[in-house]
Amino acid sequence: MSPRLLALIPLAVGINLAMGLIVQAVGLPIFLDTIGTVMVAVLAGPAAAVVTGSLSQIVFTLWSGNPMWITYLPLQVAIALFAGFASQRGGFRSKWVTVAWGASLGVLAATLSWPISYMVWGGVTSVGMSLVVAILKLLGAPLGVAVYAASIGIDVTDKIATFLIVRSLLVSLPRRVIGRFPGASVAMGAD
Amino acid sequence: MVGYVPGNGPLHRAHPLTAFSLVALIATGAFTLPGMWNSSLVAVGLLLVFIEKVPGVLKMAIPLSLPFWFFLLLIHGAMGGDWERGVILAARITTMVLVFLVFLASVHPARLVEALVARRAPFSVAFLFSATLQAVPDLRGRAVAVLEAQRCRGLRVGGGVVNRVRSLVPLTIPLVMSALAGLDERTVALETRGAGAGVAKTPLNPPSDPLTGRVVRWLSLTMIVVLIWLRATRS
Repeated sequence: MSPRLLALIPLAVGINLAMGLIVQAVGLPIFLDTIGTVMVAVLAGPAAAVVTGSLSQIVFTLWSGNPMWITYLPLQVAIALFAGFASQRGGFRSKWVTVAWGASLGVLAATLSWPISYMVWGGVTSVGMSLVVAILKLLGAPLGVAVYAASIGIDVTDKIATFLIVRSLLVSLPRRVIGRFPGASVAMGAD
Repeated sequence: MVGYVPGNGPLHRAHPLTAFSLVALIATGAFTLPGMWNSSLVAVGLLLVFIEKVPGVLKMAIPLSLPFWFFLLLIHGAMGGDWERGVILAARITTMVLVFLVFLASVHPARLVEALVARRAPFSVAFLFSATLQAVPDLRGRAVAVLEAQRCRGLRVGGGVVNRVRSLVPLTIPLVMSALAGLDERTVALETRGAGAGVAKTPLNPPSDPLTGRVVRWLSLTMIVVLIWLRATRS
């Protein structure tokens, strides 16, 4: 692994985990805990993003003290691969294209996290998500449907917001940084 | 973060990989043992807390586990009528939280990295792990600084949903830009230290790995495989 990636990945993981504080301050029901992973996917490609996502999940598990989060590691890998795929196809070239790719990732993330949340953890994960599941169950939805509905609502919003923020970052990046990471230009639609 | 607590218990003294194998064995048991057997592993977790003399773990484990007990008993018991499943799932989570926190309190991260380096793990793996553990508090500190600075400049983070969403960009971009600002400097520092050379590094202070620890590790690994095999053939 190149020294540039060795320097970049810990920072990206730090960003993933620091976003929790910002989201908490803003008070929105989303996570934004994959901004660093998506940013690395755009700048350095999917392989580096997979390392970033996996490391984020391991460190977040250590940080929170809750081993439940490590079971979502495959989800981080899928997000990294998908973000790399999206950026290689100019997925950040306009706002609406970015929203479309973000929404697609949200659906994928919800679909992949559903079996883990439902089958392994009985539908109870974070407090916010569990509350939505309990309300939907109370309204008569079967547990599996309630878990998927809660996941998809939060994941789609979260991933659209993540992709839009990463696009804002790409627009704001100095040319010096863009020059070191050619993937950023491709993600923005340059040939 | 749950930190390392100095102590002299068996897990504190054991090789980090031996401690990890024991924790992995209990966690595997929580997932694979049938019915109420896995619930009894909560007692094993509690026993570890007292053997290692890390009572602080309970202060963290109780608030972490309580929401799961509440929601699992609500969803599976009160709403679904399957109280036993609710208890089994909640006990599984409590066991995992307990043994995981005991592991974190007993094994210092630097010692774990040394153990990995001694095992000829690639330098990049050991570096990424230790550099990330240092970067996380730094970035969280920066996030707090950005939040306070932007509030001083008049940014309102409350109000309606649109206002909250809008406030995300002026909070996130300075955080990421400040992190990327030091990237070149870090890269040069790593290059000058031969990080890209691909040569195995020598651990400075490798943890001792006595025969008994190695036997325990292999026994744990064998039992993990057996438990998974029994679980697979049962269903």
